[in-house]
Amino acid sequence: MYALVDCNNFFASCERLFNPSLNGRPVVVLSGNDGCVIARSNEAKALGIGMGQPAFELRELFARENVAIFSSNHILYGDISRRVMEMLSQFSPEVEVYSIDEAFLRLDGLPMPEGCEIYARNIADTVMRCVGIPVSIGIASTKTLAKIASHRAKKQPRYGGVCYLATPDQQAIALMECPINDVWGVGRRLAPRLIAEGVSTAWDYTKLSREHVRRQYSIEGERTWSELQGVVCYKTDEHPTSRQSITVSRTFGQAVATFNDVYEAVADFTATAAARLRRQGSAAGSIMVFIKGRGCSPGRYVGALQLTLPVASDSTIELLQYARRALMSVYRNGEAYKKAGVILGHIIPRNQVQLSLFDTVDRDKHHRLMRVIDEVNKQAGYRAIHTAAEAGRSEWKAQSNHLSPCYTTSFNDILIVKAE
Amino acid sequence: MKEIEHIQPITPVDAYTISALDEAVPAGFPSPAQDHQGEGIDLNRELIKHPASTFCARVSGNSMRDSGIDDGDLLIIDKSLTPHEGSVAVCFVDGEFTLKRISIRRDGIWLVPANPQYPELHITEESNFQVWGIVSYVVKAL
Repeated sequence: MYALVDCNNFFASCERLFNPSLNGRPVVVLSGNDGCVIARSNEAKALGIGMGQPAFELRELFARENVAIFSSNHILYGDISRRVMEMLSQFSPEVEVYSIDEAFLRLDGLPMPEGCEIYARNIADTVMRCVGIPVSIGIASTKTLAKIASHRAKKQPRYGGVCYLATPDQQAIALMECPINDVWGVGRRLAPRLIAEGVSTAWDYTKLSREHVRRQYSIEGERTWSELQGVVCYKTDEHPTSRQSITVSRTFGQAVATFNDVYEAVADFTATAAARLRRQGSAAGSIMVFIKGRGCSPGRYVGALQLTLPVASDSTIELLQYARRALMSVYRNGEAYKKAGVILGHIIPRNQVQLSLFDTVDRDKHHRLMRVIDEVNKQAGYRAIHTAAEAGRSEWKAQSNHLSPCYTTSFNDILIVKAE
Repeated sequence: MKEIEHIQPITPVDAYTISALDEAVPAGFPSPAQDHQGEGIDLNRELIKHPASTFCARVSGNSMRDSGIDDGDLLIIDKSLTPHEGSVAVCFVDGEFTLKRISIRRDGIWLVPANPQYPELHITEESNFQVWGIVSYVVKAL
């Protein structure tokens, strides 16, 4: 049995935690460069503000409706997320952190004398009290169903934040009311095909024959089909969409044209991604660099290249070499670039890295150097030490005019409590 | 008087670890105390019982002076602690974070300062009031 714990309006909730006067007020969080809306409180949703909507379109609405605007504070959100996940680990020995604001908990075998619904309410109350973040919880026999249940818990107030699909009837209703797009594992790719053959809800999907599903939608489609009917196919940490890559990308405040300027940004992203890689004890087997020109698609230039590393690595120095090589292949003179990104893929635990007989890299030395750099940066501040490739004028750095303080990670940013 | 034999530098991961040897080690004779050598004092571990629900804040003002909490002190706040009579609480009242002691009286909850120059606050149904967290430690520089 699985529970999916999903934070409500997570980024907006993080901002509200340190400013409770925002409760009840519409809150939006903007993406890097204050470009588009990436998070909205319920009040903001009620005003019709759409996910991904460009901020400049909404300036007048923001002013008129007294909307509180925040630039995305990834550092703060990451730390609050860590705290939520740590609290959740007290409620189950198997917690899968699925995204920054969602986690699966396996509930089998746990002592729940009052039943799992009360247990879940206790989880939600505890997270709210101890970390200050409201969550919705869905409980069902499989992870795919738990996701549907948590969506119901979030959308329908009558559940009081917890939806437990306990009986086949409750399960059936949930499937009938779940649009096929919302089914975990059915993405933008599969949904049109399913809709074209008359499948518009999760229920319809389960009514297809297993053979048909297997033929048309492959083994993953069949697993989702089984999960929707209560048969566990994905255990903890098993699902094609679980975190198998680390992406760092940004839209530039100003378009940049020269190779060095673009590389400076790419180097910065590579270092950030590599630090994340090391923090989770992993190594990456591939690195992809992508760059996007100015203008709209179609017509604007997009270049991407993925390079496979002979030996999976977590060294910034080594990854930068590949990042530079990849960029040299996709960079075009005469273009102005508005966005770039780095994706580290084929991620494996560091202790599973297989060395090559022909390896020329001094991995020990890199590891020691990386460890020192990470420790100094932790103490002295975000990227106090960085490679020469990352330094520079940084014209491309995004503007963040509405950034809140890093209340939990930066000593100078902590809350001030009045004794007056 | 025990001597601090060896002070280790702060590592970014753990906090300050002070290693206290039970006694100086003489040459030749094993000390019966050496098996009981402490692991070291980790201030993070002592002061932060519940890391996930612990936050830091700075005090601004001296309305809690008589409780030994002064302007500029550092507060260790634990949101998981249950408020009690006498708890020093970080509250959110009328749009701001404020530090007060909780007093539960016959006519309800009062937020009480520790300085005669400041008024007590009576919390009623209409009050815009929330206990944000309970202060577990105050850290002050001398």
